[in-house]
Amino acid sequence: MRGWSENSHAISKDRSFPQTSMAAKKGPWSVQDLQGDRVSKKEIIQLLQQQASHQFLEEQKLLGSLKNVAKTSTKDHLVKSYELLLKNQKFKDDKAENVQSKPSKGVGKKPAADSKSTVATAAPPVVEEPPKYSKSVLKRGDKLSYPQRGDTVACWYKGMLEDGTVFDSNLPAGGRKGKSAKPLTFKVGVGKVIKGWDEALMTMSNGEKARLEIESEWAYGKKGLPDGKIPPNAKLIFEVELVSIE
Amino acid sequence: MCSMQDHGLTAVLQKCVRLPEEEISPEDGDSFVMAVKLCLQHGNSQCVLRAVQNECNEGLLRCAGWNLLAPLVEVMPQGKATDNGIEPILNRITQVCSPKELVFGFFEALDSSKANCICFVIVQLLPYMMKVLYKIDVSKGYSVGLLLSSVMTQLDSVPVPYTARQRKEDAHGLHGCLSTLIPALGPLVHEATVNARDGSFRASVKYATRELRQELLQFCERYLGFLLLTSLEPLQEGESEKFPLLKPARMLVLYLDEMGESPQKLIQIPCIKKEAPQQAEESKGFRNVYGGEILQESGEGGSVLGNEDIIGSREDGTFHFGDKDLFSWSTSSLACLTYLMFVHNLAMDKFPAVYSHVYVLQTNAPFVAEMLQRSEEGIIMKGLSLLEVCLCRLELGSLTMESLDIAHLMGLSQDLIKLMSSCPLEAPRKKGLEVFQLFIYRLNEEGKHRLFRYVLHTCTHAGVAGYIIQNINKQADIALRGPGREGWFCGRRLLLLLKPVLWLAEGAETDLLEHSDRIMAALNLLRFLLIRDNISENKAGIWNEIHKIENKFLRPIRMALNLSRAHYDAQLKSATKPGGIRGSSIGSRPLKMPVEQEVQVLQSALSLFDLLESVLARVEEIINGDH
Repeated sequence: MRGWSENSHAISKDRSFPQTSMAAKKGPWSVQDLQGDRVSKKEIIQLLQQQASHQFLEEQKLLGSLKNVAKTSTKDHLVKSYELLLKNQKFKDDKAENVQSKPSKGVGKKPAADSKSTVATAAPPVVEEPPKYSKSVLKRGDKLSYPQRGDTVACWYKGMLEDGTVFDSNLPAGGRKGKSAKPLTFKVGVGKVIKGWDEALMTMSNGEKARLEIESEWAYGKKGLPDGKIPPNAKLIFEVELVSIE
Repeated sequence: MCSMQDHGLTAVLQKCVRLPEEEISPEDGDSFVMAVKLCLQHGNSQCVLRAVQNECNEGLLRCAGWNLLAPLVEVMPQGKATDNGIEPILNRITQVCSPKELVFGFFEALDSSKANCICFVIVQLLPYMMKVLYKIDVSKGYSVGLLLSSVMTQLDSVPVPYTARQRKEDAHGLHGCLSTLIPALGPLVHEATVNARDGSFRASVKYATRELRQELLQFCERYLGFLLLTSLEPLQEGESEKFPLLKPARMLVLYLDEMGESPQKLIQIPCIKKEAPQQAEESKGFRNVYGGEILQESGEGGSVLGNEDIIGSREDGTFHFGDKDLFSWSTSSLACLTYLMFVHNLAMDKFPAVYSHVYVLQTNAPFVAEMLQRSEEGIIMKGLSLLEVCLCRLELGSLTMESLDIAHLMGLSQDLIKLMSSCPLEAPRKKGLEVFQLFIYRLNEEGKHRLFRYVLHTCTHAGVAGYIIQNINKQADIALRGPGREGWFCGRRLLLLLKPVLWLAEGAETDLLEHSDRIMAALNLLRFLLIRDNISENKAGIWNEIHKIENKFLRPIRMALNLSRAHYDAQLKSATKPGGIRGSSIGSRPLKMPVEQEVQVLQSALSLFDLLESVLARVEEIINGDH
């Protein structure tokens, strides 16, 4: 499979752009490749979502889980988006956007093994203020499907105060997620949950388990929760496992 | 020894002695019931007890025993139970007779009871009813439903104690009855839950369990409706122990969870009235008039928080879960549930501590609306308490226009305004005002600005308008202390807000008394702005409009004041003059009262004009001085 390069001899297993900033980037496929059956819709979407800027994806209506975008977009539309991306060079700005927990793969480089709690401070899109949470990955997810604003996600979680007091959890007491126990489901990124969750969940891929440390401003702030469940100005620590995205 | 009056009983007992149930004729059964009734009416319960305890009469008791429940209830003691021999008779009957027949017996007994003693009857019958219900194998759900719905129907006719005194006295025993009912249901709830969880049962058992569950949920729903009416606040302020009804309420919430109706899911219902047709019409009309600036719909005409996917809403305002085991909940029962959860902190450990405060408010807004629109004080106060709790969770100025569904936001403020301005009950009016102010403080600047404009354009109540103008004053004060001119309460945006404030719709003919609250607040605001923001600084921009304000607002007030003063002076003279013609009126309302009171009213009107005039004079002085 051909790699993304302005040099035809640069071959890579990963479909990613070389990190040369000066030259215009080219794509791994020609229009003929795309119009035939050789390249599937999902492959195009995956590539576009990895490489195009958030704004471009939004304009082209390509945000969302792989499955959903594949359902809603025609191949023609995807081919046009691909051409437009190359024409207008609307790539993800590595400096600004790469801090999203979705890792971009460099040429010839294997993705960093993050199973050993790599700490990544993620910046949400749109919001300009610096993120008020930190995330460490406890178990790697599929690194393919990430929830988008408005997707319904399901997760198991345990919430603790800094001193280790567990104030809430939906994990069954015996530790076995049987029939009766159900993960918490909600629409992500639309303000239903505390801001720290909304932003952090969108950086997690399906199956990922992470430890979140959320500053009080992005949790329950000055007010806390009534009856002393969460005191005012409390930093919260969550262990969250993202189990499904719809 | 039985008295002469019990010969009838002895006769029928002798006739049927040792006869099996099948051989007893219906006539003998009826005679037995009649004889027992007569004995009981004459206070010979001991005689009846001996008769039912005698094993020789078991056949007769099996045949007609269930019919004895109604006569027994008639002679039951009211108030606290005393030992008058009724209990052992009931005990024997429920041991011997067929449970199915007894269910009908209880039904008839409840049906024939009087409203003033029904609570005491229920409390005394309850242990026996539960014993009988527990014994039933076939159609248990039906029997449970029959008796529980009968109990609730009977309780419907009992007046609900509301004031602290009424609650303390509990003259009809309603609270005692409601407290006893819930713990008694425990075994039935357990049965409905355990059977439902066990997969090995046959289809018929599953069906019966589902039926039982539905009936129990039905009861819980009606019970919650009852709790909504009564006050659950402590009887005395500062009382550490909460009101006794909270204990069964806590138990009921746990039952719901046990039966798979998780309270946290139940209350997460999408906007009940996303935009009711009438409301939609009003907003449409409003947009047409004011060019769509005030009501700005969010994205898809609803909240950005979106709708909950678990629950569906129906046209009749009830809610249900998706597939099988469907149960429809009325809005008022869910409103009570959410009140119990958020105000009294029941089952909040089941409510995820990750939901945002705004979402909690959003979830509760439809229930608050439901409660505020009712006419019962208990329900309105609960709605206000719920709203207060949700608002207090939010930080000041944190509520953005985007985060709250516009229809609910305006709907909520309309409900509060309606309550403050036209509710005949004082307590809800007062509390409504407090909560309205909490609500205003929680909105961000843009939200406040929109709400103020909306209220000023739609509300005709001078008191409410005056209150809003006072709030504009507070916000303008904060804005003028800041460095910029770009805030929502500065410059062009502030002037937009002041346009309907510094203006008299009917010019010099305005009824100053009727609109005094609004006019006084407006004059005070104008005076504040003129002093605070002098002509050289002119941050608020009020000085640019000063000529318009003079023409459209100050001069008409001056003229109206002169006219009104002359009018009331003449009326006062006429009223105080011996033999003068009486017939004063305030605005268009003629005064029908003794002459002393009439004089007082007219004098207070004149002193109000003095007050208005002094503020008006001060405003004119500032304008002329600075010019």
